[in-house]
Amino acid sequence: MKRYIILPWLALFILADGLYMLFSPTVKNSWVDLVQAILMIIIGFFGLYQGVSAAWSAWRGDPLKDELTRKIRIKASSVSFYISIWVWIGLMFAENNQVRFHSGILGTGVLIMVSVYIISSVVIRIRGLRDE
Amino acid sequence: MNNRIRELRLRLDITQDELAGRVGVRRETIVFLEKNKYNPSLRLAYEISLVFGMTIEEVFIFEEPETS
Repeated sequence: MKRYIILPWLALFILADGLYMLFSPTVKNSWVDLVQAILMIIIGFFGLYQGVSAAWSAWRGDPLKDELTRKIRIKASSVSFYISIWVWIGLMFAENNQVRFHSGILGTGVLIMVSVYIISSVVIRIRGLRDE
Repeated sequence: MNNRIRELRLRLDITQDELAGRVGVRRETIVFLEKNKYNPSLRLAYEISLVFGMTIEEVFIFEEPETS
């Protein structure tokens, strides 16, 4: 049951981020902040989707995890880990060249890592897991 | 690898949900299998074959990769 506590938390996260996008002056003036806010909303919705689908599965009596979901998760993790290494190298290179990150290099890196994980898992779901 | 899951399931007149319940996976896994987007583990292939009362070779069709 405690896994569903994340659902109201995610809803609040999306609401707070939405309000931030609507009323924050920095978002209106900076496209980087706007992109970050949009990414955070997408991440929030992805988490919400995962949580709701888990709750739906539990309600129907389906197993929450099976071999396919595990394999998708493992594959998405490995792909996003590989891409993230290059992302971090790129970020460090950019920072060395005086590029300033509004949320700091750590915040930007983590945001990109989560985004890459989401994109990887969506692509794997579309393409399937044949001959793995 | 191709399979005859959809054909055999329709012959038995059971839904994807029912088949998923019998072999202990999510319905999504059956959808992936029927669309040939996923190769199951040996255990799952065996359990699916048991539901249809067939051998693994009768349900799953292994194809040799073409060599040019």
